[in-house]
Amino acid sequence: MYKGVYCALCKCMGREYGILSRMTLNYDFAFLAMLGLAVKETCAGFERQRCLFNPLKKCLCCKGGEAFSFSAAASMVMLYYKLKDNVADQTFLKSIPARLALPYAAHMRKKARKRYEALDEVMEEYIKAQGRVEAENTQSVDAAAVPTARMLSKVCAMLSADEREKRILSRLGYCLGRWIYLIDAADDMKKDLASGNYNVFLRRSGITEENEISGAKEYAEQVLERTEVEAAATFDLLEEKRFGPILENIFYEGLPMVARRVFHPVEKNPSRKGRRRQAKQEKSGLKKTEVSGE
Amino acid sequence: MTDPYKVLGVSPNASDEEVKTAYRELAKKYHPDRYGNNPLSDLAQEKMQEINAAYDQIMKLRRGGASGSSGGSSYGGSSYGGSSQFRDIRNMINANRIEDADQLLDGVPSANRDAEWYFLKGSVLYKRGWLEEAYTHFATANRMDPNNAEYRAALNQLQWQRNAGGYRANPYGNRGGAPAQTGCSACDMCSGLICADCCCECMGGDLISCC
Repeated sequence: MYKGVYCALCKCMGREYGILSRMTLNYDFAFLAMLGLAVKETCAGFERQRCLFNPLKKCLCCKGGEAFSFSAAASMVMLYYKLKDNVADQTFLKSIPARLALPYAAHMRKKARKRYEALDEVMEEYIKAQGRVEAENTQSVDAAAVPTARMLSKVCAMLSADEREKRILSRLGYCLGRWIYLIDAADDMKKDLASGNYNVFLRRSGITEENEISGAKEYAEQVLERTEVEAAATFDLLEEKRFGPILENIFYEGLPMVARRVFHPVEKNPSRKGRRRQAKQEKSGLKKTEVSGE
Repeated sequence: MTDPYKVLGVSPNASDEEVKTAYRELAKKYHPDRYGNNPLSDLAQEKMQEINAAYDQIMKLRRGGASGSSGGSSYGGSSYGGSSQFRDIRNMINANRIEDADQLLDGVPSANRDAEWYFLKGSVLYKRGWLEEAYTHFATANRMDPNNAEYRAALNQLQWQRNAGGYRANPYGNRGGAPAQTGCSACDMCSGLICADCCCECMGGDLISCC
């Protein structure tokens, strides 16, 4: 079922933003679409359709809907700001791919903004707030996570028109955004220590040596656990109309599982390639539970 | 009126025991212990009332109209009360007037900041989503007044509620310690395969033909 949602989002992006946009598809936005569908009164259902990237096989695909347009727009707007951020942050040589893609993304963002102006405003605000937090060099885990948390809180609240649901989705988005920001920070501790980039967990504990990281990791793990508890409790208040088991699985098992992979990586393949593959798996851990929860 | 069986998620043919189990599960899920200071606690309370009413109704129907009240109806909402030097602030927090409450709390001179102050400040932070600072404040309140049940409940809510018997125990057992598994479990292998299958399909191939 999850694949069906993923499939439909891909098609929607192709239809509304051109074939290139389909390459930028990821599971986060499929999740957003799914959450949106879960609170919709009606669902168009699933049907078998052919896929452009795998034309020999017909796959189950969720029939179109507003939730997909919304997710597609969100991913385009996000892409634009991400590229812009890359261009500003990286050295000229490294930023060449981003520079090349930027005009395309800018065009897509314009298109998306026409339909969902509020989305663009939320993203813009988020980028600004994020910059401020980093410039302040804050030690507070809560404060550092606020921009991402607020952004997702607002985006999730847009999924519903019902006041009761809006309240729940807003808190749910907050917890999710907070979790995403903090898991990334926890995962990047080593990298940020080497590069000197801002990382709230490093900043909080004043770590300068790599062997001190384990203490900060322990703390980060607890912080994330507490965020997971809150997200799950919030999710339980939502009266989802479909996809209940999959979504529940994401909140109760998916998030803790990804966290476990970040904090207790399985050291099995010490080769460089193996490590890289493992890191990739860690990031995709979320989608694995979703798939197995079908 | 909504179907009470639907509310509890059981079929009308379910045995009394099954109805009771379903009721208990849901009551645990929406228990005030989980939503004490939550800005959405009113929604949890609504849910609780719905479940209680559904259970009562089913039991009444099954006992041929005898007015037997369920033992579970005692689950109610939490209420702040008692004598308190911060009664106004408590009322504001209950009404989700967080900014006002916070302003008043910040105005309290540090000499007067007792355990209750830390608890209330923690509640404000928690409602705002500042979970870590809320946690620190609740912990301070507990340290200053270790016998207060309200403060302890607030602290427990932010933990995994291992001791409090929380809803839906973690399927992986003890999370606190080192991970029990260091190798690759059957579950890992399956999910890995499914993941690989997805990757293959992206590229046009297929690893597991059935999905």
